[in-house]
Amino acid sequence: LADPAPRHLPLAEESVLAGLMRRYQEGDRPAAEELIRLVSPMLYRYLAWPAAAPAEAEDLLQECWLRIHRARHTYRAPAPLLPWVFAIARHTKIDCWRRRSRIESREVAVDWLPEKGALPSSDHLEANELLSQLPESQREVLLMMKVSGMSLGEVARATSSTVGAVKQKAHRAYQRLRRLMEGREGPES
Amino acid sequence: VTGAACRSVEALLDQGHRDARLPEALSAHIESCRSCRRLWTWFSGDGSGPLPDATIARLQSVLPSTLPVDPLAALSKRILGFVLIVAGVWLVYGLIFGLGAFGRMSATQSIAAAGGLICAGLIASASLARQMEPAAPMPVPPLRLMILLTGAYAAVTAGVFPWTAASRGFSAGLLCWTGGVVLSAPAAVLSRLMVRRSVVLVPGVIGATAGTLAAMTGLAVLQFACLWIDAAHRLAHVAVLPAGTALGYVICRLATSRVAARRANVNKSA
Repeated sequence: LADPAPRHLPLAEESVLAGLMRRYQEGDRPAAEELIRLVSPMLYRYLAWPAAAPAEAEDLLQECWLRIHRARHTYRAPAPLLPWVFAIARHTKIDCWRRRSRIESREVAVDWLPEKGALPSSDHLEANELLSQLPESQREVLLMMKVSGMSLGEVARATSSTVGAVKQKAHRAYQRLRRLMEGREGPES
Repeated sequence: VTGAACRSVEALLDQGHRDARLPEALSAHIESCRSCRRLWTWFSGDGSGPLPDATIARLQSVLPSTLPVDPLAALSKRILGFVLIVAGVWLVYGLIFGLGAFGRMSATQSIAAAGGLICAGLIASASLARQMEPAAPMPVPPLRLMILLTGAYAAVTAGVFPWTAASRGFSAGLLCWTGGVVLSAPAAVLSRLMVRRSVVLVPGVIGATAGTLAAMTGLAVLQFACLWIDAAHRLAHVAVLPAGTALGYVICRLATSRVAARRANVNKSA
């Protein structure tokens, strides 16, 4: 069994991100570009799950960065940067869902064809499918923690919640996922 | 039902698995437990890897000019700002409408009415100031906090003021209530001006908090100027708070959705 790579940013990198953000606030464009390079993969994973088409996820990511840009004065160093970024990303995603549900209520749905080279693995597809059956609050916590690699404390700040509440939501999500797996494949022998 | 080993795997996932080595017992459990194995496979990997350079370059290119910005004021300064707004409006109203009710209230009633409003004002100011900063710690969710403050103030009012001619007192109080709602407007406008310095992530909630805070100025006028010392009458005064909360919620949501629609149109035409 392979040990996974640690996905949380070490403390040094957190301070690097905060430093880049400070320079971004001071008008340093290379710092802003470096920040985009470092944070975008994490944001993309959060915004793309579960099951957004790659092009749509990229649009969402772009909108998220525009919002971060407009809100950049509201970051206060030395607070951790990721919860601040993800709080904005979370609301970008919520607004997108609202907009999409409004549009879908007026349009005929067309099947989405995955882009070439962006085919997810069968594990990923199964995880997507089961995750989509979780309540929104539980799914959000799992996405931030597991897909984007944030810690409990960071997720708590990003969702304006407490560490205990986040832990409880994650635990309930695991329970529900286990039940869904059992329902699909029968009880483990 | 999950066992202790399953819960240990969950705890390990919650910690983001900072340690390089997986304990042997857990490793064996993950091999033998199907659901743990699945969870581990899904959530312990490194996601989808880095983004293509072209995507990063596109994101970097769409960033508008990076002019320097002044970071948001410190939390204590923001709290002070809201307190000054409310206190300033109270002061003006006190000069205009007077504080005649204090002469008719007992010491306990005066302390309960004024002290309750001051505490509620400070708490609402702190909540509003925190909401101006994305991901600021929120010990109590803002809407729940506003309900708690209103409920607590209503309970104190019902407890310390005498219940005399209750029905007439309440219906007469509704007239005062209308005045209280109108008098809340200046503080609401000033709070809105201050909130504009921030990024509004949840417009309804921040509007509701600003509405409650502004309503406290209207409530203060009614509590300190109205000479009718009756619990039912004063409970009608307290109803200014939920009215302010609801109005703030609705107005802020409508205003934000109009701004968003305008921005979407501008983006589309661009």
